[in-house]
Amino acid sequence: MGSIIDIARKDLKLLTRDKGAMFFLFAFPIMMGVFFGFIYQGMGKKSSGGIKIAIVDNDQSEMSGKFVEHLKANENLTVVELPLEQAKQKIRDKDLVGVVVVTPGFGENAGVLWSDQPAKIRIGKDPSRMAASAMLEGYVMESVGQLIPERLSDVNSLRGTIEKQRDQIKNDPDIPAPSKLVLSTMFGSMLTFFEDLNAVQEDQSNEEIQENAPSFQLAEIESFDAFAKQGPAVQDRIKSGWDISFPSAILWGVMGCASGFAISLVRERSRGTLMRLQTAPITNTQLIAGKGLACFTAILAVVGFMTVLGIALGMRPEQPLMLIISAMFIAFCYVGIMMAMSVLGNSEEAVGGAGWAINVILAMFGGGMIPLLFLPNFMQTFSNFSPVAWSILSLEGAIYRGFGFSQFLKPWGILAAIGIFGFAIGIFVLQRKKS
Amino acid sequence: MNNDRLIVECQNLVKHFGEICAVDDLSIGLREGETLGLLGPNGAGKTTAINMMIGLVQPTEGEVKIADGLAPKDREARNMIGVAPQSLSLYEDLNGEENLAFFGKLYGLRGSQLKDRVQWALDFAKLQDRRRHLVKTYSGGMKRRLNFACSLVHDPKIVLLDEPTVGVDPQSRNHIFDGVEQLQQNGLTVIYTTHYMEEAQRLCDRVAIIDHGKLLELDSVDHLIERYGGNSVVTGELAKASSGFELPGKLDGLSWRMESNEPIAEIAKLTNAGIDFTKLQIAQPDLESVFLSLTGRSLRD
Repeated sequence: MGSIIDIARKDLKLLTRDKGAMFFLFAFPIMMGVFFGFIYQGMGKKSSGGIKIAIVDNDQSEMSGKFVEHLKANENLTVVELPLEQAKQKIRDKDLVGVVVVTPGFGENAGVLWSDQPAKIRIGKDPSRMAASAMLEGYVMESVGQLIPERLSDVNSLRGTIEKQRDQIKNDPDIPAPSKLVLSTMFGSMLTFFEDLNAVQEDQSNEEIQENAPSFQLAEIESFDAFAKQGPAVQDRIKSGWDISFPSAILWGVMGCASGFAISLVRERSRGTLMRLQTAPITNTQLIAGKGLACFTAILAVVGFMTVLGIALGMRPEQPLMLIISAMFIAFCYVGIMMAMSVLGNSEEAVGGAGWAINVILAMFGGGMIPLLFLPNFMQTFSNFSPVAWSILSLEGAIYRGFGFSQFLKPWGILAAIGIFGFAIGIFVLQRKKS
Repeated sequence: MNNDRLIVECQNLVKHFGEICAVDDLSIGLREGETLGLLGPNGAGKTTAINMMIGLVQPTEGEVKIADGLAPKDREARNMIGVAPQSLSLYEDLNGEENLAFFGKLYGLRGSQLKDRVQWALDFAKLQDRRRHLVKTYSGGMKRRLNFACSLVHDPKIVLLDEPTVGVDPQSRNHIFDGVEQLQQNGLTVIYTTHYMEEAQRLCDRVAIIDHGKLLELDSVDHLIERYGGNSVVTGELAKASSGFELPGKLDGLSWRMESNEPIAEIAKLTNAGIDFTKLQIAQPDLESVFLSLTGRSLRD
C-alpha cells in the first residue's frame, strides 16, 4: 500500500506543477460553470424572463389588449412591443426567439367557443430555435385560453356575439329548417341566461362579483417530477441556474483529470521513468493502482472545489451525502476511462488527442455541452451510452432532483460498470504491450 | 565479497522481435564485485540483453539467474539491482531530492534511512547545492549524474549502467568514471554497456564483445588485445636516408612504418645502429583493433 500512495503522491505533485493541466482541471470547468450558470438563470425558481419575443398588435381591440397583457404576465416570456420589420430583424440578429402578430379581427372571435371563425394569430419563428419556438406556441395558446373566461364575464359583448351568430344561422340557406329551429332556440336560451346573470350581478358589489365570478380554464396543468417519488416538482427544487450548470461544469473538470492522467501514463513510458518503475520491487497492479489513486483523488478534489464554488454562487445541494457518494462513483468511472484512454496510443500527442476527442463526443451526447432536453431524439437515445449523462444524472439527483436511494442505484451501477470495463481494457492492453 | 560466486548468470539467452533476432544464444556469468563491459555498436543487442537481465524483457529462450538462483522479477532480486537507463529516466517537474526520495521509497526506504541515502546520493552526484531545483533546470551532465545516482539510492549490489556517458560534457564524463571507480572500490558488481572502447578499457575487468546479438568474445581487456589486437604499429620520419642499414618494415622516402609485438625493443635497436628520427609514433593495439579483428569492421561504423 505504501508504494501505491507514494506513486499517487508523486503524480499529484507533478499535476500541481503542470500549469496546463491545472487550467483544464480548475479554470476551464469554472469558466464553463459560470458561463452556463448565467444562461440557465432563467430556469431557477426565482428567475424572471426567459424566451424573448416581440408582439405586434394589429387589432388594437380590447380583447387583443388583454391577450398581450396575458403574454406579458407569463414569467417564462420577455415580451416587447415592436413593429413587425424591426422584430424580424431582431430575430435574424438572434436577439429574439420569435414574434407574435395579432391580426385584425382577433378581438371579435378570441375566446368565443362557438365561433366558426377562430381568432387568428401569426407566429414568426427562428428556424434554428425550434424547441424554443414550440414552447412559444404553447404559451400563446395558453394566453388565448385565458380569454375565454374574460369573454364569458362580459355579458354585453357576449349578447352581441350571440345575436350575430343567431342571425347568421337564420339567414344561412344551407342549414336545414329543423336544425335552424334547434340552434335558434339554444341561442335564445343562452341570451336569457346571460341577461338573468347580468341582472344578478348588478345587484352585487364589484368585490362580490370578483369573488364569485365563474372561472374557466381549458385545463389546469401542474408540473411534477417524474423521477422524484415524493416532494415538489423539479422546477420548484431548482434554487438557481447554478444547480443546473454546475453538474456539467464538474464533469468538464473530471474529464480534464481523466485526460491528464491518461497522458501521464504514456509520459512515464516516453520519458523513461516507466522503466524505473517496472524494475522497482513493485507489481504492475501497484503501479496502476497508484496512478488510479492519484486520478481518483484529483477528481474528488475537482468535484469538491467546484461544489464549494457552486455553493458560494448559490447552488444548494439537497442531499450532500448522496453528492459525495455520487462523486466517488464518478471518480471510479473516470479512473477506468483514464486507464482505457492511456493505452489508446504510444505517444502523449496520440493519447491526448484521442482522449479529448472521446471526452468531447461523450460530453456532446451526454448533455455535458447542451442539456439533454434540447438535443434531438437520436442523441438523447445515445446519451444512455455516455458516462457523462449518468454522471450528471447522479449529481442532479443529489442537488435538486430529490432522488431516493434506490433511484441512485442505476446511475451508480452503470458508472461502476464503465469504470471496471475501462480498468480491464487498460490493464489487458498494458500487459500485452509489456510482453 | 566472493570473487568466484556468480551473481548474474545468463544462460543461452535468445530474444526474437518478430523476424529479428536481437540476442542469439548469449551466455555470460558475472562474478560478484567485478565490472563487466558489454561492448558493441548501436543495435548490437546490448540493451536487450540488459533488459532481460533486469526482467523487463522476457527471453524467447534461456534464463537469467540473479544471486543464488533468483529470477530477475523476484522482489529480492529487484532490491539487489540498480538500473541507470540509457535515456534519462527522471521527473523533470520534481527537484533532484524529490526524485531520489521517490525512487528510494519504491525500494522500501523510509525515515532516517531514506534521508541518509538521499543525502549520500546527492553527494555522489555532486548536486547538493542544486537539490531543491527542478530537474528541468539542470544541464545535460547534471541530469546524467542524477540518473546515475537514482540507480544507487537504494544501495544495490548490482548496478547496470546503459551507455551512461552518452551526450555528456567531459567534466561530467570524468565524474561518472570517478563514480564507477568508487562503486568498484565499494565492491559493487557493475555491468557497463558502451560503444566507447576507451571507457571499457579504463573501467572494465572483463569485456563481452557483442555484435548482431551474438557474444563474440568475453575476456579481460589485456587478454583480448593479446589474442586479437595484433601488433603495435610504429610510424616515423627519418632525419636522413639510411646508408647500408636495412630497416625492418616499409620505407617510403623518409617515411617509415613497422608492425611489431615489441616496438620499444625494435626502436632501441635502430637508434643504437645510428638511425635518427625526427618524428616517432607508436600505436598500440586496443579494443577497436580487437573489434575490427573479430568482425572485420570498425566499432563506430
